[in-house]
Amino acid sequence: MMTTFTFTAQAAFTALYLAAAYLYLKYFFSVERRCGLLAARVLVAGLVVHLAALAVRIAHLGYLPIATVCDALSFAGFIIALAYVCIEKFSRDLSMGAFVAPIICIAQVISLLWFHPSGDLPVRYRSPWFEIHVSGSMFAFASFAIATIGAVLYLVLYRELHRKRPGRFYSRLTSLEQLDRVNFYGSLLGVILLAVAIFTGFNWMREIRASADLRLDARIIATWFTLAVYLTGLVVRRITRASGRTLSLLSIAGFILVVMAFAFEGISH
Amino acid sequence: MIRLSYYGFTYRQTPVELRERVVLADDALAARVAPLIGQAGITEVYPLSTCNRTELYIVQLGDGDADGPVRALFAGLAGADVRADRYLERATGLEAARRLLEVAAGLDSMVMGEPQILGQVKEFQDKARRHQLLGTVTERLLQTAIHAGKRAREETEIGQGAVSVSFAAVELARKIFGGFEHKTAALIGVGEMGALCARHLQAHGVHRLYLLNRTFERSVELARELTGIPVPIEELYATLAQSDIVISATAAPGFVIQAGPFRESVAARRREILLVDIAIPRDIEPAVGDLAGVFLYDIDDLEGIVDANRRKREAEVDKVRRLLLDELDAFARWLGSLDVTPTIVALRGKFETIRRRELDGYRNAPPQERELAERVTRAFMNKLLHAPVTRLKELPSESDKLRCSEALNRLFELEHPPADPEAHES
Repeated sequence: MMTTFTFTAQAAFTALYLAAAYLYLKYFFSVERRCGLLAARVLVAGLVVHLAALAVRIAHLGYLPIATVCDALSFAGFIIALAYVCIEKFSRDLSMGAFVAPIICIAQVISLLWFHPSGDLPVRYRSPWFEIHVSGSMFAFASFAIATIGAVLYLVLYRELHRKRPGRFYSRLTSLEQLDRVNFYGSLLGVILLAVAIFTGFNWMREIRASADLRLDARIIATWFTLAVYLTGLVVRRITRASGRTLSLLSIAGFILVVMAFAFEGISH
Repeated sequence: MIRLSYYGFTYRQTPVELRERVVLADDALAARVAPLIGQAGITEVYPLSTCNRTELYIVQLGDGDADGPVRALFAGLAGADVRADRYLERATGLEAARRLLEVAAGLDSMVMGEPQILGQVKEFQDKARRHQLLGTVTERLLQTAIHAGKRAREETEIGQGAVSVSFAAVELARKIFGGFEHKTAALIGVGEMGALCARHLQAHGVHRLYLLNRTFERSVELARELTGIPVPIEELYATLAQSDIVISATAAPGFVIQAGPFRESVAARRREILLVDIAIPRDIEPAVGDLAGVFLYDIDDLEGIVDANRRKREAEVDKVRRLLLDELDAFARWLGSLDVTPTIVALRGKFETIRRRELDGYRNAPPQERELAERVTRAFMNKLLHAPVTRLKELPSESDKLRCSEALNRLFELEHPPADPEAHES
């Protein structure tokens, strides 16, 4: 019964995310603002359905359903969508939707194709530390993903401007400074959340093993490297007032490490 | 019968010497345009007068000829020494309506898609209302034109991208910095073009504006006008280090900003800087543009952007025309619905549809009962419609017929078939 509900709900919000992605892309490649506005509304509708489905499942399971790859991916998509909607409301710019919404869709479609919802959770995972650790990691991942999209778009627009050949990105994207802000605040928030995730993960390990196990496995090394790269970017920027371009390049490098860390996470589980 | 006509002088055919004479200022609206109402069956007039055009959109009821009064009006404005007639453009029916839609969409503007015209159309709508020149048809036409103008700018790229060098510079700055609230600009050389760019930047809210010129007194003079800060030219590189946007427009024979000292002065800032060199010969050494975080645009680059934008706007014309055709079609349908005959046909159709729908509920009844119901409802419907239809046909004036038709259309939500565009052509 719950599995049917989960699948139906997931199909419903995936359809909404797909519709939003289509409309955002149409807005980006045409100029019809109403497509962009409609896309924003459809994305919010997708988020609402997703949130409702999560609430029902949390009530049923008693914990945040992110124990399987399927659920983790879907939750990551949810967080990215949530973060993007906040950015969109703040910046009043719809152009980034054409790049963020497809990523949300990819996460949801893969999750739907590998549908395997979380069931009973082993006792060791039933800890508040673990929940904060995992959801903190997810939020950090979403922040880094948004920051990276901002960074890539920054570099594309920078290139168009520097080559004096304003093209589609010039006419559609928001300003360089705005993209830089998305990258900076996305990275900053990601670093804070990742630090929280590391701290709570450490506590959780101590809780279940009576002593913290700090083996330097590939996943932990990648996580520490990620934190180091993003921190370096932020500190370098703060101290030397490095250009947005430098931070963008560091941001992209950091995100490659984030993906590696998540890949090792998947392998280790 | 409702007739729509257009009379106008536009920049396409009329020299400025005549255009400036036929301008319709407020007093001309009261003294010359308002008296048109009532002549030759004219019931409504929408005047539009800008620097590129003076136009009248006229609605007539009956068969009167509006040519005479309109030509007399323009002859009076133009004066006896000019033959204004030669330049007067004229259109009737839906062609007249199409003219206003194209004007509102910016297709008929000197700068394709420029946004000011839509505001001017609205401004003259208000003026015409104040002088009680508008009526049902012109109000609807204006509503259609304004809606079409908005759609053209929202749904196509007809109004996108700067089409002047000074605006292209501002657009570039906006693309790099977003807003200008916390930005500092520097203007080097206080010539006309540079001052124009500086004015645009100030209009967009630039936080601080430095003015540098070889003759310091001229910087001081312009600084007073633009509320800028005059800076001696000797402090050029120190000022550049503090600036985000630099516009250089001097008449100096060599490079005013050289790569070596520029690199040294801006090395510490590590922020993006936009340099706009609109001088001929150029003021900024091209090697400056190779530095990271520096965006250097000269006059050719800006003109390249302007040309590309113009081409983009021209490429949108067909799309805009298709959109206008949709709007024109809807207007034609509405206009057609105002005639008495289509209204009566639509009214009968509506009643007949309701009658049929009700009878459908009795389709399983015995044949005699169905036949009786058919006869009774038909007679009932004919009797109900007889009086209003007869009264409508007998109304003495065209304006009464127009008002009643519109009221019936609204009250009964009558639907009219798509109109034949040729039907309203002369």
